[in-house]
Amino acid sequence: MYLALLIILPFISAFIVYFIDRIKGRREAEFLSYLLASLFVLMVLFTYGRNISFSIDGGSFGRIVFRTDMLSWFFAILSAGFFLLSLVFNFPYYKEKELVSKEYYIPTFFLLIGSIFGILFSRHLLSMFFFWEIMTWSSYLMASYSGKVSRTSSMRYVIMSIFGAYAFLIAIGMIFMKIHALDITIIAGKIPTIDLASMVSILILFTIAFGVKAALMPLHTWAPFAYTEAPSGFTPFFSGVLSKLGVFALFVSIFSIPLFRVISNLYKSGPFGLSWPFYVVALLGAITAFLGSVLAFFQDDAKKLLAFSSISQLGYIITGLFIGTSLGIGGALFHALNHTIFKGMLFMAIASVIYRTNTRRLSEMGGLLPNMPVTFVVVLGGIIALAGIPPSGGFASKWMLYEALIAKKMVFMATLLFLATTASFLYVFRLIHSIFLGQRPVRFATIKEVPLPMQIPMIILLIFTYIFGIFPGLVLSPISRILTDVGFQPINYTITQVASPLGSWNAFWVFVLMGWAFIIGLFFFFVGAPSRKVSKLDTFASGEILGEDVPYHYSYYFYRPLEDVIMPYLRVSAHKIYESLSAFVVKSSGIVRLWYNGNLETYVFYLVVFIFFILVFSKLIA
Amino acid sequence: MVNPILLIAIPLFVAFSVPIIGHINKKTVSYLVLGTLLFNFVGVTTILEHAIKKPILVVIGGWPPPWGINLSVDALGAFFAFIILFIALIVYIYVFYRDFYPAPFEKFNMLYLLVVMGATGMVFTGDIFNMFVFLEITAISSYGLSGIRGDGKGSEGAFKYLILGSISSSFVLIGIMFLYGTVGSLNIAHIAQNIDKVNPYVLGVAFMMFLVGFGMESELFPLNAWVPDTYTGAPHFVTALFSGMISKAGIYALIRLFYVLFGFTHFSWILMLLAFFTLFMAELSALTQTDFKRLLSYSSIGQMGLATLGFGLGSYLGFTAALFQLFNHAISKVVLFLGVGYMEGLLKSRRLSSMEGLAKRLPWFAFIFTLAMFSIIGLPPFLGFWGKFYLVLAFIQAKPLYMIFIIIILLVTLVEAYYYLRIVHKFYFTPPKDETLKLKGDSRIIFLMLILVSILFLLGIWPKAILLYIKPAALSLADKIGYIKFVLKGGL
Repeated sequence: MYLALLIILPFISAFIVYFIDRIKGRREAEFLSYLLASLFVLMVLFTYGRNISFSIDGGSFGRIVFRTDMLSWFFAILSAGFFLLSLVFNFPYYKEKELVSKEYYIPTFFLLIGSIFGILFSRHLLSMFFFWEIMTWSSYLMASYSGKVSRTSSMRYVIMSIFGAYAFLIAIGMIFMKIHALDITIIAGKIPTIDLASMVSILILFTIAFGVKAALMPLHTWAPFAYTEAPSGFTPFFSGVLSKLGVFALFVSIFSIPLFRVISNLYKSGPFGLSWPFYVVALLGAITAFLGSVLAFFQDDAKKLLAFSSISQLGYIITGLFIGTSLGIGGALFHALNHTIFKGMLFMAIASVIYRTNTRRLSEMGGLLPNMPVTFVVVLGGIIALAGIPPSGGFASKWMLYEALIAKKMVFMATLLFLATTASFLYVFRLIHSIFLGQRPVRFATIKEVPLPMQIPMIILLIFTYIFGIFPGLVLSPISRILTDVGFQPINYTITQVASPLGSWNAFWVFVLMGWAFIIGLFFFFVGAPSRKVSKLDTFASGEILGEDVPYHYSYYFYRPLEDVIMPYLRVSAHKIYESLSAFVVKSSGIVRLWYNGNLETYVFYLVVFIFFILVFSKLIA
Repeated sequence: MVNPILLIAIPLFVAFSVPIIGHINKKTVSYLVLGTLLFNFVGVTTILEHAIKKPILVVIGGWPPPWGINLSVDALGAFFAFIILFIALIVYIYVFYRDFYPAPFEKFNMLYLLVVMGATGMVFTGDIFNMFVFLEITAISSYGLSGIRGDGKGSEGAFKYLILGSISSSFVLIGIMFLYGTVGSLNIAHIAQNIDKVNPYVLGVAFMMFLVGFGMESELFPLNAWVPDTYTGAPHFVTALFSGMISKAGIYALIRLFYVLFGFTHFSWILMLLAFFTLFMAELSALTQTDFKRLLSYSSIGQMGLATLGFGLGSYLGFTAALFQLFNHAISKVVLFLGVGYMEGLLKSRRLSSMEGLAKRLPWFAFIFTLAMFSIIGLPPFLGFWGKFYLVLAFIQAKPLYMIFIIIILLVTLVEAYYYLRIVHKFYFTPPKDETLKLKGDSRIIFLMLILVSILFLLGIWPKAILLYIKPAALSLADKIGYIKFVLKGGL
């Protein structure tokens, strides 16, 4: 009953919030939605380690069971917590900024979180699919609130998502027709009876279905557009939580339904002791990580840059999952959590900058550090985590992923991931440089820091990143239980120490060491040669005298030489293929329409021809 | 239980008394028609409850089946009759509320009852000649209905429908002649029993004749060319009637003959091929439409194609999928067609561009439309989802080769999802061109439509309620021997 309430409550809250907004006013609705979101967080927290379940009758599909376990708890607390933070973050945004159909925005958000709970607690593929589709359309609606500009981008997202959902549907159909059950526990017991070919096709279908959400190349093409054009207040959730549902569902489909174990047992050939289907997907993940990073540095749009970075980081996670060792999976789940935190934080910070400056173009910003110090600190903390530098959480999880790859001697993939990280230094640097440093355009002279409700969620996330970086054991304890639940070796850890086949490291000492380095640097900064303050305009400009209004802080085409070298290789892209495909469909629509030309003589002609044909064909039938 | 014969006789009687009563008092006529439809609806509900347990045989004039005329109502027929009469009632309530009859008031009411009576007769009757008669009644009165406004577009559509419809229904008569000439009977069960004695070539030709006749009504490719013009030209409540009810009667006749009378199970590919082209052509044509009503009529063809695909599979799961699809299509298309017509009155336009920002101007309508469109696309938690779900299951169950087929079908329905969601985007996320223009919808009509979409929603989360009726219907379609047994009572 408790669990049923947890799933149904968000859906009811959507209506309650809508009507309170209508009847009482926005402030009351705001207050109520905070309250409800905190209630969800508490309710999810309560399910920790408990085994609560309820079931309903599903007719010929067996009993439809909903149950909590460690895996669903892990993702649910991440979703619910982030939901609360992004609600808090959203309100100033939602009060002032241009959103179309504002009154439905928060209610749709509640529908979305309800469907997410539904997916996470389902132990039955039918109900999981049911909620998956609700999640698809409600997130489509959420992504569309920025109005007319969002149309093509959110359409790309929803069409790809429905495409993925159809793949999911066919996979479900295949499973049901083979073993006549859709309950995950029953499937797990019976799946070895399926033949290998069907099992591999089920795996491929699942990978397509969830790869769309997890932005796996070549199914990622919606992400740069949808993340960019979605309302800035929603993008943190979009990238932070919704993409993680793809990861969750992939985890369920290959480890809870043990496709991984069963296929590996039957199909032994493949590199590095990994069967081919998994190796290919892991490689795709690594390629995604690399190419996503490379594409990110040519972006002038701050949100698009982060969108490509999200694609890249999700690539790491997928690689980790599909290599199928304890360390890889654990690292992937840990990185999923970290990615939610630091990417959510960065998207929030960028949303704050956009909130004040009304532009997304990096080349138009600059010198905002004195105006927005808190945002600056958040971005700095975020990019440290994103680049995987200790003592942030990003370091801990990325390190686990590298170790997992190295332990399996997958040198090529490890190289790709290292390169991706290096590339990520190049683009994250731009966020600091182009937005906060250098010359400030005159029109931004008077802008202020964002309101407190927008700062608080970012600061909370910032704190969490470093807590998880210093005490990785906090996260590894649920992750180890998830691993034991699906039959893998748990990870050896203490609160600060992580052990792997290659040795162990202590995150706390890493932190202390970094701290010392920082303090020493600070010491020399103060004690060393006295610094001299110079005006920003004190630059050599061949005798020209610079005024405040002359821009000299160029960040347009920042990596031009690099772009000239790399871009020719990226001429062919999945995006272009899809675009030409859709153009082809539209064109053929014009041709097909000629059939219905409105001319009665033609219609009678069709009739006559049809009768002629069927008279010929009836000979065939007989 | 109400005797099924009354559901045919009473509308017929009332239809012919309408002109006389109309002379005395017009308001009485509309109450009378409403009363008749209400009676029919209640009647069919009791019949359905009965028929899912035990099929009903009504013998007329004391002559037992092979010789006399009989109504044989099994679960399938009762389910279709339920859809037909439910839609008929809803559409009439709408017209009644709107108080907005086309000019020839009595003629409209008369034709309306005749269409309802004809469609009910088609699904109840037990012999093919009566089926032909009812088909003609339905068809001729719907020609009249679609041109009832007497304007250019309406008459054009009606004329196209008239020409194509009358050519094709005469083929049904030829088909009947073939069968009567060889078997010497008109009773469906009796012919079905003796079908082996017929020369297979004659059988093939006879079926093809029926296919032409009923395929026209059920909007199958390539016989559906009249649909866009007629649907667009006819008044919107007539269009709702066409899409919700007349096409359903057509497809009922087609599948009843296909599976029971002819007992074809091995070459249903012909049905599937036609259905696939129906779906494909219609969805692609709808993609670039800018007229909302025309778009809906293409989508209506597409939905019928999808349902026929389910029937063409010839398995229990396929039938279930198709029946879900038909029920969902009937309700959601009625909502959409009525809504479009209603909005056309308010906005003075049917173009999609005029509906930008509808959520600001007519919030309830935008909401209702969105839910109905979600249901057609097949998104949960609405009824349409189950149709698609069962269809996928049925295809996967059928043959390994059909896997490719279902993938193509789903890709085609992706086109449908695209054009409907584009409209949702127009409603909610495009600001209206003229903010000040706030319109007011009639709250009674909103209420009526809310009831319909809440049916879609409730059955979407609780499909068992409808599966209770669909299951026996699907089983009775698959059970040819059972049908023969129940009609002939083991005689002959």
